Amino acid sequence: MSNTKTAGRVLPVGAMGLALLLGACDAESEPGEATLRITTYGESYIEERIPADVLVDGWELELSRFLVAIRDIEVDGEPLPGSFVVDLRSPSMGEGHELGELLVPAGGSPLVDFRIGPVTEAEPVATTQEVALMMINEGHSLVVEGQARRDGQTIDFAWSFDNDTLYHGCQSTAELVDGGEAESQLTIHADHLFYDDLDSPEPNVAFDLVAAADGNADGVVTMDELAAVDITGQSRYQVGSRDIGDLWGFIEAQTSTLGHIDGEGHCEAAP
Amino acid sequence: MTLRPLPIAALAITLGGCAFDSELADRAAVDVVVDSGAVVTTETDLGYRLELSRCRVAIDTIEFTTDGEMHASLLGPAWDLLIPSAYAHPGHYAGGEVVGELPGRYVFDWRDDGTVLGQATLLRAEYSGANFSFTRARVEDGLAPDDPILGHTFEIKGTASLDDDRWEFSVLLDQDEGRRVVGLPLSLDLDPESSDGMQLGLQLLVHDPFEEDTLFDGIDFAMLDDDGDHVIVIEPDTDAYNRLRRNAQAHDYYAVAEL
Repeated sequence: MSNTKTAGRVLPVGAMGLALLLGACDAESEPGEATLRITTYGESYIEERIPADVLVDGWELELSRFLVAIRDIEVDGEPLPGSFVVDLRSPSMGEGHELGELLVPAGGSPLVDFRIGPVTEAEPVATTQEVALMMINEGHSLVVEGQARRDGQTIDFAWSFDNDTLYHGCQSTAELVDGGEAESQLTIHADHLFYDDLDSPEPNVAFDLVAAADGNADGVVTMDELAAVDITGQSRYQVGSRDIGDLWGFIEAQTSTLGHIDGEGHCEAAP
Repeated sequence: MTLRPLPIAALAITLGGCAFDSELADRAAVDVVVDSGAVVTTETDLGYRLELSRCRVAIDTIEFTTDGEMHASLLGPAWDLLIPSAYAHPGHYAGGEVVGELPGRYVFDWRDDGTVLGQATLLRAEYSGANFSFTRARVEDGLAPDDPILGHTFEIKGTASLDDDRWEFSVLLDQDEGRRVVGLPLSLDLDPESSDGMQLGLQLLVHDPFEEDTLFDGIDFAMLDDDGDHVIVIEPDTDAYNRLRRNAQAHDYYAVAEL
């Protein structure tokens, strides 16, 4: 159902229309409050693996570390204090990792904003203080380490990104009921890193071109090797109007598409 | 500010008989025509002098956008009633708010200067950009069953010259159905009350004057002439084809201009 935001709260459109039609405006009724728990989750693709049948070229991907720096979380403009470095590879039994709770006005479903970007201070979540400090000191927003496997061949990778992306207008499915508890989940989609198109609504998840970037054939694909791959002659890896000509730039651009809400819910992304 | 259509529709319902005269005053019907002014002879980065003798394309729905916020009361019922398809797809707002539209499919040659594509509906706004989508040409577009562009997005023919050599080349280029080109430059402050006779020209910039590159950069025509007959067909899944396909997706090579 489409919703509309009014006075800091999202109400079902039908209800709003009815209210407009009837002129119903009970200024004296208080909406009450609900407790909203904010979590972040990398789904089984990060906590376990991205299976071979997901990739168009038969590679299987297993991540060993997926560090993400999250800050500027807001629920209908109400900030959740703090910045966080989370290792989404750390098992959560499908529950995700809790970042905090907010007491918010009840009624409807909230709009959530959050930023994945470098942090100057951070609470470690499902990781150590040392790791959080590394992210702060290196200025990273995302660190992805893992291994790809196919037919006995393995390719390791360890990439870090410094991009800053604000995910805003994320329409949570949480229902805020007076006196109730609800959850909004900042969901991170790792498979987008391996998409083969920056604009297509139906891209492939692929690894062949990344594997082929291993110029020195040492079984490790580095950021420099990816940057050396010219994608301008590729039939896939389309970039639209963006000024991106190499595979590292392409993957870096994909990092701004990782953030979602409550599983498959979409957000607007902005630098 | 994010503009949302449904509450505006609810408002329109609530108000019942909205002021239709004021809606009319806030919109204009403007001819959109093919502008061949930028389909010029050019020189590519590899030194080829390039001239097009045919440049047909199949596109779908041109949108006109504003970067600035528009007050909902201005967009209001007129916007909601006239441009309903603007909200058909997620991510539609990239490049600005859609406040004008020329719906429909169009197959035309970018060399046919002045060909009228249709009348766009534009709301009163300061326009800063335009978008369109690629499609594949169909018989339903009014084409003959044996038209070579059928099933394709571009049919391009031309000549490439280097020193004393000259090659005739052709390509049938495909883009993904619905692939969008977002952010064509357009600078227009539209006042519907003084827009009579106005035309907007849709341009293909074979040479991008801002970055000084061309649509055909990176293509080494001599290397494509395997049999030395100086006739080249750029085939799919080749480096040259992929480069041209990629270049043709970039908004750098398109513009909309008030004529």
